Amino acid sequence: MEMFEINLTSVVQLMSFLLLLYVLKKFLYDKYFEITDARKEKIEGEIKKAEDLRKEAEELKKQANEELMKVRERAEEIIRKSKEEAENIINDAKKRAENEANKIIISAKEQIERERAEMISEVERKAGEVAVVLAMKILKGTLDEKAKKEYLMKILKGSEK
Amino acid sequence: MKKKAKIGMIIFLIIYFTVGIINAIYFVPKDASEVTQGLASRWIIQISDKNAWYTRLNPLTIAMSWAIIIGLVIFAVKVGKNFKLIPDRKQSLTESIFDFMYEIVESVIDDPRFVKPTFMISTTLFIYIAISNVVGGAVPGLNVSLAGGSVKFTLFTDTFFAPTADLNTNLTYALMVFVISHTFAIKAKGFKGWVKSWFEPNPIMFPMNVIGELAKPISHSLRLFGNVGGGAILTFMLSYLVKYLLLPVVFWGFFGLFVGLIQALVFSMLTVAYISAQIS
Amino acid sequence: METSLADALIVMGKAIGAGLAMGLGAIGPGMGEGNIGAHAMDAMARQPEMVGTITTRMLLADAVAESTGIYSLLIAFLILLTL
Repeated sequence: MEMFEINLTSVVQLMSFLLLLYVLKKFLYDKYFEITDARKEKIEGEIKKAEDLRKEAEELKKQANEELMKVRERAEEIIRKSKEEAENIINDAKKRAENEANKIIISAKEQIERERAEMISEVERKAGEVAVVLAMKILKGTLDEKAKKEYLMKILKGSEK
Repeated sequence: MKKKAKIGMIIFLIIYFTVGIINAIYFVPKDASEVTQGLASRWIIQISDKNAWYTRLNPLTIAMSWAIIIGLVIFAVKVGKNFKLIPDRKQSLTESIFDFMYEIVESVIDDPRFVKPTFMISTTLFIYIAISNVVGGAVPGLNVSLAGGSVKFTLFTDTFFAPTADLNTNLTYALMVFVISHTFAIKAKGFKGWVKSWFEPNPIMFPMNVIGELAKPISHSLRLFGNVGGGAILTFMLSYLVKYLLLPVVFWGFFGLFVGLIQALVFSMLTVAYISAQIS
Repeated sequence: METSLADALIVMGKAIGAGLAMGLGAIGPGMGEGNIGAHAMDAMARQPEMVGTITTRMLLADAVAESTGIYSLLIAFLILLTL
């Protein structure tokens, strides 16, 4: 039964195992934990940095967008205003032209009226003159038929002219 | 470095074949019973006149385990001295083993307080047992046989003696794991909780719990011992059957590398499992 | 070399005992490992992306299931060599 004998060797083995455990802990495990922690920290820091940069970029983008929106609004306003002004100007011009045309038409009409009135008054005056001359001739009574006709013809011709 | 390794390999093979031929001529036993006679015996020395368990030592086990431990310590000091953020080859080998073990331990152990101690114990066990199994199973070396009371050394008739092929080593480690798991249990649950855990699910189950707990270290140690010790005996017999000349490399590789590494992994995994079962 | 009947009987008993121990002890682990392998193959066929993990677990389970066979191997050696 030498194969299954338990003796002092077991104690020696236990001691040597504990020594091995101590040495490995001191030289490998502690450093391994340190290194893994350092690596984890480094990676986390880098991830955080990247996240921060991303956030900053997003903010900048937002700002740029806002500014762009503002500029666009302003441009639209300017365009709207200029359009309105142009319309106003056109409307004004139209109104003025209309007014002037009206004025011209009215004045022309007035002139026409006036000229007509003058003409009518002249015709009336001439007719009056003819009537007066006729009346004077009739009143003289000495006139022959032939003279009457000639005279009438003369007057008529004159009025025709 | 590569050229050096090549030259070393060639020198080793030349020595190996020469010694193999000498062994085949001079050291092959005439009778098969002569071979099997000393298989189950161990080289034990008595350090004092008194014959008791504490005066007897297995020198081969101690010598082999100290050789492995010194090698590991040298490696650890060399690698640990310049442990960098960006690893070189040796460091990345170490780190890949550690990462592999740490992931398993982290997924099995729930309590974050016990992850690191469990990791240290199981990884140390894994490295030590794996190296000792591989050295004991796959590296041809010194054979010590006891022929009629006297110790006889022969070179290259067998693989090296693995410290894990000695029940002293295995049972010590299994009992150590047993004690550690219960210490952790007392730390995690308190003394009352630990005592209570023996009477669960009801007090009638107490004897069953005791037997179950005591069976753990026995099966834990005998599994490793059976694999490595049986493998060593089979390797030795196969070496005899081919007259020490042709190398039963396949069997050495199977028992040394494959079974050895898997049993080392199983031993450390069971360590983690026992500790996790105690502290949860 | 003269062997008595008692010695011969002892040797016979040892051989029969060791053979029975190894042979019967190998049935259980054989069936168990077969089961483990079959189910691991099933799992691999269902999830081919998990092959690495399943193989590792399968080898671990094999090693644990093997332990009873290893015990019988030990007992066989014990009977043959030391008894």
